[in-house]
Amino acid sequence: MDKLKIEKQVNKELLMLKISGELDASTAIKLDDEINGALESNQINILVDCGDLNYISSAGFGVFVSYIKDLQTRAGKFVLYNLSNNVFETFKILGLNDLLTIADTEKEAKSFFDKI
Amino acid sequence: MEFTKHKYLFFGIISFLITVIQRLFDAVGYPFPVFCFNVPLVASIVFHILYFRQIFNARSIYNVEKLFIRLTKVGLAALIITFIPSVLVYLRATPKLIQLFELFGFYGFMFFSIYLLMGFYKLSLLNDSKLVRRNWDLFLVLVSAAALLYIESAHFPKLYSSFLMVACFLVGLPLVFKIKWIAFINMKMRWLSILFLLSLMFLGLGILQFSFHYNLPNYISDTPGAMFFLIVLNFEITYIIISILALLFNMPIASVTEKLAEEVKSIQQINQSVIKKAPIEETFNLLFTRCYKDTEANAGWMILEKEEGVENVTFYTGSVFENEVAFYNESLKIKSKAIEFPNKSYHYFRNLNKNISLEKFDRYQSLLVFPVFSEEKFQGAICLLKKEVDSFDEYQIQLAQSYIDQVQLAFENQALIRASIASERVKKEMEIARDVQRQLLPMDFPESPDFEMTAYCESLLEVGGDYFDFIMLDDKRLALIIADVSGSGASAAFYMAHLKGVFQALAQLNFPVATFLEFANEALSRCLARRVFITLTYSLFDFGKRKLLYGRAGHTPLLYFDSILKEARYFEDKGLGLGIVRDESYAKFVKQYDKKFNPGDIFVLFTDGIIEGRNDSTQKEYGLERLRKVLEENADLAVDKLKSAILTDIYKYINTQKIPDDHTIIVVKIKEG
Repeated sequence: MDKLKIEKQVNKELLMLKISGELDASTAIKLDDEINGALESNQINILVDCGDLNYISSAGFGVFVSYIKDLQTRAGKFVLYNLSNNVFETFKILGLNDLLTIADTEKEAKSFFDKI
Repeated sequence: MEFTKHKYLFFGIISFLITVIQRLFDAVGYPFPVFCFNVPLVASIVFHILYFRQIFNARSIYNVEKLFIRLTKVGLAALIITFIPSVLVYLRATPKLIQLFELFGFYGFMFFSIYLLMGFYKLSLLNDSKLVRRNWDLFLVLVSAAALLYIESAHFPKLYSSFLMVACFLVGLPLVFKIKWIAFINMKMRWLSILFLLSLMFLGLGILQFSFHYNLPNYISDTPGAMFFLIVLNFEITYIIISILALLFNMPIASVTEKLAEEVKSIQQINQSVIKKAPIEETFNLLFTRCYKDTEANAGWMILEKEEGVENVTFYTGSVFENEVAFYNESLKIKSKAIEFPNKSYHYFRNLNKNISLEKFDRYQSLLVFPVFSEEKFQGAICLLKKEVDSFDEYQIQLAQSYIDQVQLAFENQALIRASIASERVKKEMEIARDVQRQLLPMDFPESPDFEMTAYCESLLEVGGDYFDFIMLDDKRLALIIADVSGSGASAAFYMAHLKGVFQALAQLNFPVATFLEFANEALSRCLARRVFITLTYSLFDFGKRKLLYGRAGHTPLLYFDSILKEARYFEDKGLGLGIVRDESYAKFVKQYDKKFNPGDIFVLFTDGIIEGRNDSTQKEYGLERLRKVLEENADLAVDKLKSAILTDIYKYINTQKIPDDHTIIVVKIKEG
């Protein structure tokens, strides 16, 4: 059993990722590879569904953190939505809610890209 | 020393010399009365028995071959001595001279018969029990008793000799079958033993022949005393005959035992080779050779894999050609099959004709393939060929398999030893690292009229990424930091050490909190790996102004107990971790906050390990709220007791032995001042 599952869906300009399970040091690389691959193929608008993400460790945050700068310079962005209270709290404590776009629902999340 | 060792021989010879003098000077009645005239002779016999018994008992390890050589040498010497009187008779020497040499000849005869008897004593005791030794001692006593008959037999009741005869027979009979030594000598020695035994018998007969007709009052025939020699010689001849028969009958079995011994030796050899860390080819060659020889195969080859996937056919033996081997390897797909054999065991192609069309390669009909694994990795295969269909028997197959098992076992043992040494070394290194890291954290806390303070830091692994530190800027101002490097273990520990350098350098410069964070972010951004970031809270306490300035860089919120309101709460302020935004724009994300405090107020700083411990049954996290409550409930305690109360509450909640993360807690309590 994988601790972390990633489902990928490409919708026009949008890359939609659904991550479920636990995102920690041992699974962070998997997500990192996924995002890295997306950026290499010029998919810079990334939507992440965190609905089934039960746990995220500091190493897990590291993955998102490491691409913020890259996405900014390329005018792309991460939008995370469907975060559980737990996960959202941790994002907030870290100060990442100012840096990443966090939405409640898929619809709201997609609307951030419509503005582009 | 020498005398004690040989005293019996000395006494024996002296006694015999007395006998010689008695005889030469015909001194009947001197020095003993007539009836016990022969006492010195009897004494001499008994002393000789005692002497040989002593020397054979002393040398516990006695090589059979050496023993036979000695017996034969003594026999030859005795033969020569007993022959001299006949020469003297032929040369018409004076009767006195002849008589003297006849006495010496008799001594030779006596010496040899007793030496031979005791030689068998030694042989029969090889690898045998104490019981046999007792049996022998009884036999020797009886035989010595027979020698007593040399003293005027009239003094002994008639029954005496008959009794001795029967007793010697009964006691001596089991002894002639004590021939276990035969089992412990090799094939060559067995044939040699037969030769030795035969020569000893002929030597004995020759000696008897020469000394039988001596003119001196005969000690060997015509006297009741001769019963001693009768018994001894009978015993010796019987022992020789039985030994020879046993040797002959044991010959066929001997070859089997020898083979078994050989096989045990093979296993030892193979084992040795692995233990000595011989190159793997060498071990395999040895293994292959042993398998080939001991299964009596006609030919064989070995596949040895040096590196993953690279096949090296390194060794053929018997009459098999390279193209033949290539043909078998190819058509039977030996390597790929060998890996798949069930239970990693051998496969036996009883009749190759059934498996493949042999075409021109039809010299061999049976093929045995043994895969060899080491540490679960395929190392190679040993293939053995025989000409006839199904001609490897069960025993041969099991034997080869046992050799291979031995090698595999030895490989595995070695791997285990290597792994345990390596892990032991890593453990030691990590222990050193832990000690070093401990020294990076403050151990003693300042004694101040304004505040009291304590801290606790524990890593999940030997080293971790939690850090706390403080500097007294002056006697009213304290700079305090708590930090958590993302990830854990050694990599986090390195950044933690780096952070200590940054803190110690920047704190001294008396920057405002926000500036401190900006500089720290800049310094750390240059060295942190891509996905690594650090959260920290930097606080400046001014006890003179009773004011706290602090900045939170993404770290867990500061917990504050208000002693006037008697309630605890978290400071919910903004702030971003270090190393997340690695340029000047970071300044936008941090801010300095301030807070006035009063005596009795408590500040608790901690890392996420403190609140993320999960209850073992509900899997719910300990969380901020529980921490807040336990602080409120224990706010009256001194800092050390308060810290313990918090930790106790956490452990009670998670209900396991260990908090599954690095965790640090700092408690600062303001005093009246």
